[in-house]
Amino acid sequence: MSEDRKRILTMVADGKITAEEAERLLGALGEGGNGAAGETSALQSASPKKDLKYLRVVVDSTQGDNVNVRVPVALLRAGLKLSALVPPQVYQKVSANMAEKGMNFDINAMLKSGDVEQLVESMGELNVDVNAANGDKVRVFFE
Amino acid sequence: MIFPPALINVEVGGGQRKPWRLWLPVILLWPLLVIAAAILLPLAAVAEVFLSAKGVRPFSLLIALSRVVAELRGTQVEVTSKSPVKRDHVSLYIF
Repeated sequence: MSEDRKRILTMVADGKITAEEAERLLGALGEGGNGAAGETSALQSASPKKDLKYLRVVVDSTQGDNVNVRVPVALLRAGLKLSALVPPQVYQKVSANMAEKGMNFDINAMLKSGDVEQLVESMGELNVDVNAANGDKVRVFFE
Repeated sequence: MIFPPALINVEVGGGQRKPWRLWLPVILLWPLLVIAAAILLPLAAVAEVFLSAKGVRPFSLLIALSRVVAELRGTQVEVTSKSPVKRDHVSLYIF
């Protein structure tokens, strides 16, 4: 049993996630974990994390190229709040242009001040691991 | 109270080139920022009164912008290439 599976089952046992969420996570693991050409697993941990300070993006390449980015969560929050101050006319134009391209969603509705907090809190549960067939690894997580 | 970044450290090196490091003591700009804020904030506040009906909020925008700048503290970017052909290293730290 892989570490990821153990982690998911432990979260179910601890009551941190529901059986449905666990099924979805295990499904995501199953799709990427069969040793195919490239292994990609995306986990959305449902366990609540507190005091998250940084968004980390870590790239480890087998050729020796490494990228390590650390962005303060407070900066993300401030950026989202800043974008919420953009005049509504601008959002209407953006939404109209996106609708022309076939993307129908309202950015203005997405960035209401109350939603920003919820969005940032939800981002804390984001955890993405990508393991490529050639050994390259990409991790996006909060700490 | 949230303070803006005090120091920015940029480091570039690699290959046969001599690495260089740049320390930018942004803290020295703080007095200028205070003066700029003292001038701009009242103007933006007055402008907000007249423009808020149109959805333009310069005062709030200025406050949000300053918050974004202040929250840059702790940002760290490191890119390293160790391939035999090209060895490069770029890093940026904001304190």
